[in-house]
Amino acid sequence: MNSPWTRRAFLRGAGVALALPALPSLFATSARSDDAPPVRLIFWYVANGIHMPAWTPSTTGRDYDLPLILEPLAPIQHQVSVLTGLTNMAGRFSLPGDHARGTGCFLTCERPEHTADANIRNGISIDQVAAQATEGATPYPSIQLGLESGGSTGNCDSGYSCAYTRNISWADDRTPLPKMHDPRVVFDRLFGGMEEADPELAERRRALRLSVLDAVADDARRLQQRAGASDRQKLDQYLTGVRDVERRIESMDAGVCDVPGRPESGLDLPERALAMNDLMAMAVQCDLTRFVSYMFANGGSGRSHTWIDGASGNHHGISHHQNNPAEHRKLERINRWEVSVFADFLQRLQAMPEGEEGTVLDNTLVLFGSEISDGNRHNHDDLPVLLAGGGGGAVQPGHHRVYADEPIADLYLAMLQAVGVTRSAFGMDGTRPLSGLR
Amino acid sequence: MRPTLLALALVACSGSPSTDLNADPRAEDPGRVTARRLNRSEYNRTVRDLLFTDLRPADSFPPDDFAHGWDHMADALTLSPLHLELYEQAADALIAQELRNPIVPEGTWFFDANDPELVATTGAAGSTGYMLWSNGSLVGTARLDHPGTYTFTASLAATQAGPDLARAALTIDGANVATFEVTGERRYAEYTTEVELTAGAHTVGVAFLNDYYNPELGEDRNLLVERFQLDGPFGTPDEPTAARSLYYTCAPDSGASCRADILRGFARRAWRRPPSADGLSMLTGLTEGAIALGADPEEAVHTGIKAALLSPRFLFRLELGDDPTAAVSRPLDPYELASRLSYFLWRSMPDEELFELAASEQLLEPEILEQQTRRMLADPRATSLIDDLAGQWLYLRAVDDIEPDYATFPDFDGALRDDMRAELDHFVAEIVLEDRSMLDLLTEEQTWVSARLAEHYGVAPPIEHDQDLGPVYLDEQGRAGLLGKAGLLTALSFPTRTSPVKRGQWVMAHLLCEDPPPAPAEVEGLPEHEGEPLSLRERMERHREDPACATCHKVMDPIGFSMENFDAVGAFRTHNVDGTQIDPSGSWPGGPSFADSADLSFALAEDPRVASCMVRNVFAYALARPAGIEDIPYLDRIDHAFEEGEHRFATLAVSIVLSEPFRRTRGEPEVTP
Repeated sequence: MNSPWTRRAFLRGAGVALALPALPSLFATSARSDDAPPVRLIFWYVANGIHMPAWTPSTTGRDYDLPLILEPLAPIQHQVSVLTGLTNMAGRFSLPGDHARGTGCFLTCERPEHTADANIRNGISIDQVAAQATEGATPYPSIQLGLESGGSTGNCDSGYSCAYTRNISWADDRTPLPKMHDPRVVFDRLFGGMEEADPELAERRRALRLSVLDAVADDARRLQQRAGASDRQKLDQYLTGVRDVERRIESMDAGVCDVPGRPESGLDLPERALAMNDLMAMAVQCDLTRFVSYMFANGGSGRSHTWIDGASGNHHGISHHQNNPAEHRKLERINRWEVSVFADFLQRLQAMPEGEEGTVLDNTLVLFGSEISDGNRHNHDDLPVLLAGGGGGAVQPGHHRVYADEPIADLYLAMLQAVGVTRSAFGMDGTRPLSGLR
Repeated sequence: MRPTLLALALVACSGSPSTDLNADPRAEDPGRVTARRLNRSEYNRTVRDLLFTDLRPADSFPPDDFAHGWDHMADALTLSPLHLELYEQAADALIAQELRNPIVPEGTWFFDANDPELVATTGAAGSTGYMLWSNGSLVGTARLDHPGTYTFTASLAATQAGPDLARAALTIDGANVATFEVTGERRYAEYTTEVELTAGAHTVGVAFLNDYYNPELGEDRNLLVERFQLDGPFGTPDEPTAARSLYYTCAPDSGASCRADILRGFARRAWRRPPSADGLSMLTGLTEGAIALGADPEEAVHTGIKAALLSPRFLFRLELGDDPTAAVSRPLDPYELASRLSYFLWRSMPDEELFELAASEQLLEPEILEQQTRRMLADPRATSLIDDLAGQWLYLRAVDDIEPDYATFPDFDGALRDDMRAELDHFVAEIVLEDRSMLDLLTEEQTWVSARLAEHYGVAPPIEHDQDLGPVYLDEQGRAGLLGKAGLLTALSFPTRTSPVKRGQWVMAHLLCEDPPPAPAEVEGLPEHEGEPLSLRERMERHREDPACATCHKVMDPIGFSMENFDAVGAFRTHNVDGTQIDPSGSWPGGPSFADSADLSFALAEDPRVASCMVRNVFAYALARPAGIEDIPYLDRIDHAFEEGEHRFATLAVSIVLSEPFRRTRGEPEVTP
């Protein structure tokens, strides 16, 4: 079998030396030197809450105990903190629809407008605050991934638009960013063309791509001369898109890194999840992007975990456990599997050396969370939250830290600080970076 | 046309003035449509018809912008940088699959010498390979799909003895195709030859030719076989794909003029008109430039074709006249008209017949246009009207997203949801594509269900089946037409309970074209866990006590309550959850009264607003823009033709196609600031 890690190819990605001078204020608050590895933020969402009795460690501080659901973290525990006692107030409201609201506000901490029509409204998400503040540093300002498909129209939860349950990244209050859910599409977009080992051939392909884009842009400009105002505006959008792709091809100009193998087609869901782990890890290691949001499932997902013994059936249905111990056991199995895939991802980052003696995980912050806490109560406090990685020294991982009902928005402000972006407020209730993470 | 009482009752409620009651026809203006990006449905259907592909690249494109209830409105469709990236990927994938140089893919037929399936005339398997200890052969069977040049390789060694080296032959069908002196002493080496083979089964293997045995001296010459294999065929031309046969009318390596011919033919279909000189020279310039860069003619032509697929001429439907600012309308040219027609009825590109009628300009003749419209409606591609037109206007697609509460409806699952969608698809196709009166959409009491859905409805399963669906009648439950369909009723419910407001509001907006203004934010949605001991109906009565709410709710609520016999997954019930009896009867102030949902559907079918609303929806769908006040004179004529034509879809489609807004366009006068 072809190991995905052995094929070496030229990756014309922005290497370690980034265009920092273009972003003079970016690292102003950071003590990091210019040639320090980049810091990344990854936001990992799971659906339908967590069975908290088998999640929350009974001890605090270092070497906290690992309840059943967290057991898969054992090999990487020193890099993972459990943060107990965080709340997303924006999810609370007097209407049904907690899954949509909780998923909508997962990274925005703003209360989504109750609508199933086109007049959706939410806030900008934290990953996009970071991406927009550092635009231009990497070929992709951010990427959005998921394991389940579905568009952004229609009514997905009690009169809430599917835009809220199927996207967690929002470029602004009205623009959800669609996610890619097919690992092959993700591969083609991020690594397409890079697997060509013959540099001469790779160079010609690149030249041909650019010449095609140049030619169609010229063509669009010719057509614009014959177009009225509205048509010209549509062609302007087209030209912006062409320029964007051209810039991306041109910026992929230095550096060498490993390119994973193209994922096979027809993978089942657990295999797709591992393929995504591969692609995400490679994307951040190669510095193709620094901000990733990942929906392990859509909000309120009803998928059946047929590959886990004794856990099949509608996940959303099971999460309404009504305190039935049999349903609790199923939830524990689902949640434990979710954590095991997360642990696999962390171990991949940990296995990638970076800087003097660190790893990619040392220079990354990975947040794991859900739209609610308990699937039966739909509560938006006591959220299940993991924070993995060192964030380039911003965070001291490996602790169970307990907070007294503090806003998760404050955690996001702290994560933002780790990438050198300082903001004094975020969402409905974020006012200062969460303390006690070091 | 005299407005009905219902229509009058609605005027007070409607968020915007009912345009047709305040008509003030001005100078006729057929309007214009902004450059339309192909939406996902159109992209997939267009590449299917352009390249005969089964790829559906647009499935991974971002969701299309949604406006006025549609996903193909020209003004609303935006194009993001992500689109461009995915267009580029899609073009690469389409070209690689559908326009590849048709060479038979190479294969390997591998034989492990110790495989017990092989046939040997002598010798035995051993730990270091198969030993032929006397003259004889070891063979297997290779079944080849394609004739051509193959390489035949064997890994051989020997135990040497006597005066000569061991001699071996590679054999095919019993004949020696190559002989070798095997030099290694128990060390394997590869021996290769090239062979021409026909398709079919061949016996391939290795023969030992010069056994030597001298028991006195203890000398024994043997041949050792580790493995052998066939690889190939190399460079065998394969059946070209359908697209390759159509566009590659000559060999790309035969010269620049051939390559230009290929590009011209491709661009004509991809750009839906013969390419202009500047458009074609863009493609040929790229192709010849690629050759100058060292690309082979295959890759060079692919480069030109990729540009054709990335050009705005493919990705957008453009209607550029000579004067982009002209306020005076012009007739569409025949190619523009062909595209309008094909995207209306098929959501895809014109076919060859339309291209030919455009080339001869016959398409501009009304009789030809009508005849083509009817021909196209009979084509299988017209099923796009079910998913794209009815899918959005009549909410068929919304059924794919229904998710009733698991605890309240434990029997509901994805299979039942699919059956609900299949019922609606079949029901609408039966009326729209069979050219029956579209009012039957409201009143037809026969429907087509699976056995599972029949059980859900509480009726005996259908006796006859066609693709799992069979006809049943649901009239005894007070069900008629669309408003009795489980899928629609579920889509218009909350996960745990029915919503008379949603159902009533939907009927107003989608069947009467009277969209009520949204309720004030603070009252929107009935709180789920309200503790008052009021029935739903009693609570809803309170809508009408507040004058601000009453204007709309007194029309909306009776519609919704007539459907209360159908629960939040559309199953029949006679009693509410709290045990009270359901009363589906109702009336509008000063309007008709009705006994139940079916009765209401029949009343709606008689209301001219319903037919008129159908016209407005299909008109917007056909033109990719909403109907505006300038369209009223045209819409009135279409309304009339629709009524005269007994409300058949084909009549409606023809009268829209023949209308000026469909056949003409104008420029966009510059607004002086």
